[in-house]
Amino acid sequence: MRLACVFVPQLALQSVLRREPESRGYAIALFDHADSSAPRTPASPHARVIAATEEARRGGVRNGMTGAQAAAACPTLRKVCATPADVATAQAALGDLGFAFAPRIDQSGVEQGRIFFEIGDLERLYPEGEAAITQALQARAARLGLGVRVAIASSKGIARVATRARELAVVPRGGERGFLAPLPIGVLLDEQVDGDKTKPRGRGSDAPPSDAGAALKRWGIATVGALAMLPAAEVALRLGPAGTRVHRLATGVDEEPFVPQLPADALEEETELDYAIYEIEPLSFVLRGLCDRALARLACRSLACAGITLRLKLDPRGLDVREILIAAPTREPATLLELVRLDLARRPPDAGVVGVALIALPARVRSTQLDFLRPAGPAPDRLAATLARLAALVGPENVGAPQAPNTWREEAIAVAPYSAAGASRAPEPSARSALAVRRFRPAQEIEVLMGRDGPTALRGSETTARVLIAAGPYRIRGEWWRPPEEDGDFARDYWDVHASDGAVYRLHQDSRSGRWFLDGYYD
Amino acid sequence: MKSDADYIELRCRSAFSFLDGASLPEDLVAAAARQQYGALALADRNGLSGAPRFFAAAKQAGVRPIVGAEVTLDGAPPLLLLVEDRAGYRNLCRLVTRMKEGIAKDDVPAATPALLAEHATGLIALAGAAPRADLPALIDVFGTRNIFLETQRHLEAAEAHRARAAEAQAAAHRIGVVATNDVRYATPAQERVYDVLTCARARATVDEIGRRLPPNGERWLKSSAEMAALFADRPAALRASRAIAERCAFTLADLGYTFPSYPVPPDETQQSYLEKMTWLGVGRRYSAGDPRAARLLPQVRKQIARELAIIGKLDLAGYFLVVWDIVEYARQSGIMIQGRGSAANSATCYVLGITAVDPVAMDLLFERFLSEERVQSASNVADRMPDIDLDLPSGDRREQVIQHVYAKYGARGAAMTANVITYRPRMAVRDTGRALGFSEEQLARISKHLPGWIMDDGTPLATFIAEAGFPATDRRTQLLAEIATSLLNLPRHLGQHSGGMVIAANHLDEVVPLEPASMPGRVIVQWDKDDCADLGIVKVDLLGLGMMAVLEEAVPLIQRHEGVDVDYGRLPPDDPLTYQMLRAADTVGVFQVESRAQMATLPRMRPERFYDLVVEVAIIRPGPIVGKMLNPYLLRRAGIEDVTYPHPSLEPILKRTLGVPLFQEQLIRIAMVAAGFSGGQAEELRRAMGFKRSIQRMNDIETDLRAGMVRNGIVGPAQEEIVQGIKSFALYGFPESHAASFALLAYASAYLKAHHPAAFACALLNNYPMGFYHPATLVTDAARHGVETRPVDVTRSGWLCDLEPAPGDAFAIRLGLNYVSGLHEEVGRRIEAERARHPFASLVDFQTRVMPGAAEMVTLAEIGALAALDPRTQTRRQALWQVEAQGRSGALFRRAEAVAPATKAPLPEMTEGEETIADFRGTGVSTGPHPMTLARAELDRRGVLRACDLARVTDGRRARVGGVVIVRQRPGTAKGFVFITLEDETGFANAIITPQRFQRHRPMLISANAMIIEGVVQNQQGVVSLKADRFEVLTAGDGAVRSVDISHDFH
Repeated sequence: MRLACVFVPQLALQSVLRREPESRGYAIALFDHADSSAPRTPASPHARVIAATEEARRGGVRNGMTGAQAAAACPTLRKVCATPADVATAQAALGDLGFAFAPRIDQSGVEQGRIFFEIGDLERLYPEGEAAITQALQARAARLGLGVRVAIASSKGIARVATRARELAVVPRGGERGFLAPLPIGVLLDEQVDGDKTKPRGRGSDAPPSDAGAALKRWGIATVGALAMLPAAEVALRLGPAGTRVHRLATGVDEEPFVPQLPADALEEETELDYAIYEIEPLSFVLRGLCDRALARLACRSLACAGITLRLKLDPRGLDVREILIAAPTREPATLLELVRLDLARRPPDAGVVGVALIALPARVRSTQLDFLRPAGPAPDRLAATLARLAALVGPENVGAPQAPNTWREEAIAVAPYSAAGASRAPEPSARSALAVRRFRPAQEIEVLMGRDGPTALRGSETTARVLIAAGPYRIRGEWWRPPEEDGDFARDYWDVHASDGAVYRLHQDSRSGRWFLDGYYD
Repeated sequence: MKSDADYIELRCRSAFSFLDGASLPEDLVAAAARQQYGALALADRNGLSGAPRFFAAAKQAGVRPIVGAEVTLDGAPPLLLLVEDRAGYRNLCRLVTRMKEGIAKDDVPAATPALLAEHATGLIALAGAAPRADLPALIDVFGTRNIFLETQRHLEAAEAHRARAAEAQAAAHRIGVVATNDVRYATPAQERVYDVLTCARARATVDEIGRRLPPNGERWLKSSAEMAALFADRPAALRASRAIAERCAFTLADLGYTFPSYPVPPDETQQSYLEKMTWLGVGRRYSAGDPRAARLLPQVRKQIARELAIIGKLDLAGYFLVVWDIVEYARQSGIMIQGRGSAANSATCYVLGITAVDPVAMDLLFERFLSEERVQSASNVADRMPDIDLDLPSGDRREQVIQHVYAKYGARGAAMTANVITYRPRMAVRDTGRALGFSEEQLARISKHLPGWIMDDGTPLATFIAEAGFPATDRRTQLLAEIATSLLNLPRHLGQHSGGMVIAANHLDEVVPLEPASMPGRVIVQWDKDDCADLGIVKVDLLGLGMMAVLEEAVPLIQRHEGVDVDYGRLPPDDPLTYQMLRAADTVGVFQVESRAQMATLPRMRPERFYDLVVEVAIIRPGPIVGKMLNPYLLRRAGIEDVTYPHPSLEPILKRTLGVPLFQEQLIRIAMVAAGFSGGQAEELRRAMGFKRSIQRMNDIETDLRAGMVRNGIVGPAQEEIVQGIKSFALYGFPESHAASFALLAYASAYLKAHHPAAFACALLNNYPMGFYHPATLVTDAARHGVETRPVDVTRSGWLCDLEPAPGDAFAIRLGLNYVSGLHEEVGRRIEAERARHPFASLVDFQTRVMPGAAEMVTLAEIGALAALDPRTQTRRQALWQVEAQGRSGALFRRAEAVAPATKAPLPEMTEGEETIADFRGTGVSTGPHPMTLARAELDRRGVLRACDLARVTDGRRARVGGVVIVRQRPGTAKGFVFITLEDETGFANAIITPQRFQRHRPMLISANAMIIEGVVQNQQGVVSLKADRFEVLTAGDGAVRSVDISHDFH
């Protein structure tokens, strides 16, 4: 059996470059940090460089640097973080590459960015030999936006090691030991040539635990051949099972099984158009087909669509990648299409569309626990569509649930994203807050006559009255850190006045301008 | 009282409430004085840390300072306690002390009702401006006359409601209501600072903190008139504040502190006993047969008699005896001890053994230490007390002496002084920046551009922030600069002073609140050492000095191996070999003169006698350097420049230092002679030169200085020269006596290095970390002095480094097991002990008896420490091969394997480079050839010189030199220039880099372990350096050179 191993070095970084192809050729560093709960941003103090482009490395950027260190080393550095979706897409694209050449691939998942597949049937297509296959694979991967290393060998372990040693490698049958002997021992120890040491270790990774690796270094074992020369039993005595495995591999013996897998969730639907589309209506026609097919495939496995990544290929070049979030997983093509249409209407592509890829995020249908005492709310997918439609009409910042921000500025309100699950009953009115202010929005400018102890009369569009009783002033100052034009740095004296028209008003004087405003009246 | 106004502010917090107050006590007092307050109360949270400074400022401003504290209660709102009389003060101190007993450093202390009841006498309680449930219980504790509810008006809507309810509760319980303003800052302008501190306390940004900030900025110290207007309808509440203030008559002038007296025999007084001990000491120090002693003795007797008379007059005998007792304890316990600082001016201290510098022989000024006039003219009690600092070997030995003091004076009789940590630029920018929402990354960027200490040249923070690339036009950047500047100097938290101890005859916890320190077995007082001094609490500084430990350790080493008894008190003066070494700047490891700057000065200074060393120690300090005294002195010394004096009247003062003022004593005397300073003014100047709050004080003094000089006809450039000279000393300069004490240690250590280089290097290695250089450099330096350092060997090494005989009558250092990284001390000690029982027979025997961990065995094998153990472990790789097999097979099979024939390891032996790398990784040093020798052949091919060759290059020619980086420095006094020292197998090479070049090559210059530097050679007066312009990472030498990370950076 002959196996091809295709490996994407720095998968996470490459996945970002796939998303932003325009960034290629620049100094770019990828950041991540150990604390997975922290927000993924290069600005986080815990973020460290985990991968960098060649340009960035030339500028002095190294793995493990903090953002500040990296920026100091390379001032033009662009700092990026990869989202899990980026990596997953790149991994899926790598799977696609495999399936383009073979019906079954081994993509165990523990080792990201690496696939294996049998090349038995390809010999007829590439009569020039196995080297041609490696070249073809590399060329095809490049079209997918992936830079790969390819090796062909008779076993998985050897092929894996070969990808670490060479960009393109063919390990001849029976020549394993000879191929491996001159290689540096690092290739067995999972030290990748490009310095990306972040990938998880697990099944499918032949790397021994680090103490065995350290031991080999201590022993002065510099090449795979030197390791192969050591007596197997002595190595086993000292390094245990992990050492035995590495030693066997060094001698060209590898029994790691090829575990063929079904095609991954084929969630990407893609279509190329013969001509550019410039309007939403005809594009919707294309999109409907994509949605239908994606949902149909998901439905076969009892899954629903929890989100869409829409990749629009623009005319003449360029990509428009957009993610469309869905409040609840859905199987309704109409809902899906509606959300996509709304998104396109809100942010139309910059150019005509010549290709569309729709990647559906699979998820189980969420079952909602209904409240025993409350009426059932709207169906989650309908609600999502409604909110999306509203957001398209009035802007996403204006859709949601009102909230009282934590500030002394009395008139401040905020809008929080609406969530059906989070919506709860209004709190019980407390006995102490019986008095409410009915607020004018915005506050109305009025004229006030001031006496020794406070306002004595007021005149405005709402009322003109004498002041019978005035309480105050209540001084509110604050938010000096924001400029006045952003509602910051305010200073006001508030008064509550009982006016001769019978109402109790809340009014304030802006201490900086001296102008008076009627805020509202007590109800 | 200054004003007849009814209102006195009783609720006032300073920045000593740590992040809950935005003004220094001094600022509050200044505001109170402006507002015509006759009195003011300061009540910080759970402590009296701000009280001494409040007291001092208030006394000066004529405002009566009322002492108080706001204490947290267990399960109830806090309570403000004001001190009415001395009993009340005692109670407050003990209450706060008891509250803090047994709680962790960051926990909030709280008083239980029982504790409060126990300490209520003499205190007046203000219970807040809202009704409280525990009021009846509090009335039971304080009585209706001593507790008040408050009414406050900050123009907040909810306040009126609360105040009405409180007033109703007060009326119901027949207690008084008093108006307060709950002051958090002195002036309205400090509102923003308070907001930022609140954010720092809450660890939130201004955008997140919302209503946790006060709604407005009304909590400043308002005038009586403003308060009267606010409370026009509550005149009784205003009057109550004044009535309470009048009741609170206690001030810190009445602390009730007494210094413990020394237990003397029944027929002796403190003074008579001191005299007896002193004259006995004269006999010891100046023995009859010594011709030098005979010459000095008449003068000594006269001086001692004079000093004892002054000591008697000032009633300080007890103090001298207590310090003498500590010194005696140390001496009896075999702990080296030496007084430093101005005490070295005293012959009494010298003969008592407290100090080691003979002030009579050196003609030192006793008045710098103690004088009748000084005591009489002293503006406060602190100045009456002489200051004696004691140096001890750092580490356990010093701790032993500290614990002795605790044991002798009791847990409530002695305590360490606090160290008030104040905002410096970096912390100020960090706290402000975090509050304003700057990211950590941005703040880190700004931090790099900030100086560590407050800018002496008045450069505003905004400049540094702009340098970091933040435009000054941005609002938040402006705010950052503005608020961070206001934060500078505000206290942030309380730390522990490194060595200051205060001692009291009676309960110290009745004089000042005590807190548990983070180190077990220690307590600290809430005041820093200056505050203690200001209030007349006597302090003894017990400071740890690494070099003392080295000197102490060297004595038995030399005795044991060389059979020579070294007595530091009797070292030959002016030893030619020692001075020759000093002149050659061969001073790695020598106390105080080993730094790059000192090494660059020594060949120009050419010291020939002890006093030259005193000058050398004093001259490389920020004061003399910034005051531009270094070059004139060296030029005059070399005869290149004439000796002149700023004014003829100063000649007697400056003659000894060739017309250049170098010591604090000289500057004080200049001020007295040139500006006619009185004893009191001179004293103020002395304190300004020794205090950390000195720059402000120095500026205050400048006016007097100039006026005085004008009166004496000193004007123009002469005046300017004198003023600049004196002002620069605010930065840091030494008193002559202190320099002399240090010079003694410098001389002793130089003498050791010259005559007993092996023992000296061995002791240095055992006391690392200390000094300026990495152990690897110490080992290389020892090698240059013919001292071989031998690698760790489990059949020979002890836990510490030791000496072994070497060919000839030389000695070699055997590296100790303490240098093996990851080797636990108990394992190391076990190796020592088992080997002492009987030698190890084999690897298996070693493992069975010592039971080291697997990782420890691997390290020992890797560094070659097992080579002599067993034929199977003769080389490092052989040893590794055996050790790793043993490691897995477990004890059960070891015996069996022990008899098995030795199998040769099928591993390649380590190359020289690999051995060097293993040595550095396993021990931090290499006893083999210097790593640079591995690169030498390649460097020779490329024309890279050795460090020793550099001295032969003509001044002005270009050269290249390569080496391992051992020092990177950017001194604050060097205007941004960076100094890098390289080391190779022949010595050091110094490079000077301009700020611009440093910026351009920054990443490489700060990260490379070894480099090649090219530039123009500067070879002047025996000092060689390279004005560097090209840099390259050194890659030659098998990777070993690059792996050597021994640089001492930016200290």
